[in-house]
Amino acid sequence: MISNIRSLSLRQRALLTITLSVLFLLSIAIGSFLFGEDELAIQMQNKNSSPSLSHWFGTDWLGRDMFARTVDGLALSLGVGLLASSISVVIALILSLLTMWSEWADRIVTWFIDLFLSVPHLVLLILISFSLGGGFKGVVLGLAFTHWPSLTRILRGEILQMKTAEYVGISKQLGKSKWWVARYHFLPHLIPQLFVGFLLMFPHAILHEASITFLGFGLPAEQPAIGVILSESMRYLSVGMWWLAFFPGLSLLLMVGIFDRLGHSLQKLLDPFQGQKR
Amino acid sequence: MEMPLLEVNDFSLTFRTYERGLREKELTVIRKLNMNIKRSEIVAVVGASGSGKSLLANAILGILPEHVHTNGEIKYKGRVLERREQEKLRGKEICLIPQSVNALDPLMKTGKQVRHSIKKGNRHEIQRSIFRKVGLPIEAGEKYPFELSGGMARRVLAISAFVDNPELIIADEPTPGMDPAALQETISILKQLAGAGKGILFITHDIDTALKLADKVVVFNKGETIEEASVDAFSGTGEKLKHPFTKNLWNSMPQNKFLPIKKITNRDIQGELKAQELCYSYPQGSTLFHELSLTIKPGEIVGLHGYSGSGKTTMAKIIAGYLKPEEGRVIIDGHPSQTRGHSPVQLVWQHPEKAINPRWKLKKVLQESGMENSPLLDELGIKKEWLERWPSELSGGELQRICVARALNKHTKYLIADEMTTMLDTVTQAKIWQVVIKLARERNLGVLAISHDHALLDRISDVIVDFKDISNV
Repeated sequence: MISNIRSLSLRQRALLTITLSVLFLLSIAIGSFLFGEDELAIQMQNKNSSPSLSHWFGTDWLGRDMFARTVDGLALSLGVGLLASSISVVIALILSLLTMWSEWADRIVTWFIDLFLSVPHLVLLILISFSLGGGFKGVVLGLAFTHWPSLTRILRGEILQMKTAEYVGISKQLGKSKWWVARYHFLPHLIPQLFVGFLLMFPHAILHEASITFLGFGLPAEQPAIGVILSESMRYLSVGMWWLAFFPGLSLLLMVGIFDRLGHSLQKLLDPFQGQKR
Repeated sequence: MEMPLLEVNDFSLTFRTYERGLREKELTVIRKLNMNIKRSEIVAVVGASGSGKSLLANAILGILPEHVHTNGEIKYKGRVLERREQEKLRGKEICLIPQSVNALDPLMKTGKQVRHSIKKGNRHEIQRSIFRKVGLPIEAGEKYPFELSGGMARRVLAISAFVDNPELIIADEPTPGMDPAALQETISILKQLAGAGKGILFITHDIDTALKLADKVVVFNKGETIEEASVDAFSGTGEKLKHPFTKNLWNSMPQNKFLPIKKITNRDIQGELKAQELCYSYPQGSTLFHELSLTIKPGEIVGLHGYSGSGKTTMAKIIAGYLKPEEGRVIIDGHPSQTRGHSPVQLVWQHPEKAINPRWKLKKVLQESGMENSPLLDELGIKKEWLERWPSELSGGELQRICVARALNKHTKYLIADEMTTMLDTVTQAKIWQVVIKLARERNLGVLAISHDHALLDRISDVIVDFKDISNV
C-alpha cells in the first residue's frame, strides 16, 4: 500500500489528500444532519457511561451520546469558522486593494490595522459579539471583524512590493487603468496569499469561537458547540469522566489539522511555483 | 599527467515538470557535458543564455532544485562529488560568485557581509585589505548594497567568494555591464588567483571577456558541449574554429561582422522626442544628472554610452514616463508627455524576467499590448509554442524577444532600449537588433540604445552620445 502511494506522482498524491480531507469534512456536515433529536435526547438510564461500542465517545451526565454531540459541535464550528474566515478574507482583500489607490487611503487602512491589533484580541472579540447581541450572529461577526488585520497587513506588503515591479510599470505605460492592473496583475498574485491566509485564519477562528463560548460569552448553552461541551465537561473531569473533554477536544484538533493539509495540497496543485517540488 | 581539479564527464540534467493535469514529463536541459579544470587554469564556459550554464554551477555546488535529477559524474580532485561532500566543500573549497547582485543581503552592510565569509584571522583587517586590493573605497564597507553602484556591488560579491582562499572558484556571469576599469580589475584579480594555483570556472555569454581572461573556452549549446577551443582559435573569421555554431557566435560579435550598417536615409520626418534640461538627484543628495538634454528623431537610432551606476537607467525611466524629473520636461512630437493612456515611448528593460509577470503565460503577456497575432513575432523568431508556456520555462533571450514584441505595438513611436541585449549571447543580440533597426527604418521608429558596449553602439547607431558629456555632473 505504502509503495503504491509512493509511486503516485506528486499531483496525484495531492489530489488524494484533498479527496480524503473533503470526504472527512463532508461526513461531519452530513453526520450532523443524521443525528437528530433521538440521539441528543436525554436518556437517564445511560448516564455517565464510558466509551463502548454502542456509545463510541461515551455519554454525559444526562445520558446524551457524546459522539452525536461532538459531530454536531464540529459541524457548528465548521460553519462558524467558514463563515467568519470568508468574511474576514473579503474584508482583508478589499482594504488591501484600497491601499493601492492613494497614499491617503493607505494611511487610513494602516491606521485601522494598528487600531485593531493594539486592542487585545479576545477583549475586542467579546466586545463586538456582545454589542451585536451575542448568539450565532454575534460570534460570527465578532470573529470576522477581528481576524482581518494581520492578513490585510501581509496583502498590503505584497501590493507595495508589486507596485514597484517592472511589469506593473510597463502595464501602466501601455495605457492600462488602475482597475485593470489590480484585476489582472495584483489579484492573481494575491489569491495564493488569500488562500494561505484563509487557512491560517480558520483554525484561529474555530479556536477563538470555542474559547469565548467556553468563557460563556459566545454561543448559547443549549447549542452543542465544542466550546460549550468543553466548558461543561470541566465540572466532571475531577470525578474521572475524562472522555467528556478528551474526544471532543481531539476531534477539534483533528479537524483543524485536516484543514491545514487540505490547504497545502491545494496550493501544490494550483501554484506553478510550488507544484514542482517534492 | 596532472590530475584535474574538477572533471565533468558525460553530465546530464533533467527536470521533472507537469504538462497538463497529472501527466509527468521529463525535460532534459543538459544532455552531454564534458570539461575539466586543472590547477592555475581558467576555463570559460560560453553559451547562449538559457543553455543551462548556470545549472552546471549549481550542480557542482549541489544546490540544484529538488525536482532535478542528474546523471554522469562530477569529480573533484579525482573523487566523485557526493551530496554530503558538496555540503562540506561549498563555501570553503568551492566558492561561487553569483550572477545577480540580488544575492547580497539588502539589509546588511557590505563590509559585514564580506567578513561573514572569512573563517579565520583578523576579519576587519582582512576585509579592509581586500577592499583596497580590488579598488573599493573603505567607506563602501559601511554602506548597504543599494547605496553602491552596480559595478561596486559586483566587486563586493566577487570578493566575498574568494576572500577565504577557496581552491575552485565558479564565477557565474560576474562581469556584465561593468565599466572597463572595473572589468579590468576583476579580470586581474581572477588571473592573480589562478596564478596562485586556484582553478577558475568562468561562466559567461560574453565571448569578449572570456577571451581576455580564459586559457581555454568550452562552447556550450542546447545542452551539449560543442567545442573546446584554445583562446587563439578565436581570430579572423574563425577559420580555426571547428563547429559552425562557434563560428556563428564569434562572427556575431559587434566587433566582427555582426550586421550590415544601414545609415538613416529619410531625415525629413516631422516630430521628435525631446528631453529638456532634466535634473535628478537621490534623496540623500548626490546628483545623478543636471540639465540633461537629448533629442531623438523618428527613424533615428541614438546610441547612449555609459557605464553601470552612472544614472542611465534613471534617465531612461524619466524619458519613458516611469519617473518624474525634478526639473525639466519631456516633449513628444511637440506635446508634453502625458501620464494617462498608452505612452508613445516604451522602455525595454535589461532583465526580461523582471519585466514579465511570472504568473502569466506568454500569450497573455503579448495580449496586454495587443501583439499576440502580430507578424512581428515571426520576424523576432518567437515560436508559436512559446506562447503556451510560463515565463520560467523560457530563457532570457527568448523572454527578451517577447518584451521587444510587447513594446512595439502600433502606438509606439519611440523605443528606449536600456541595456536591452546585455544579458544575451551575441547571436541573439544580433538578431534582435536586426529587427529593431529594420523597424526603425520602416516605421520611422526613434530608438535610444543605451549600453556600456561601445562596439555594439558603433554598429547600430546613427549618432553616439556619451552619458558623461550630457549629464553635467
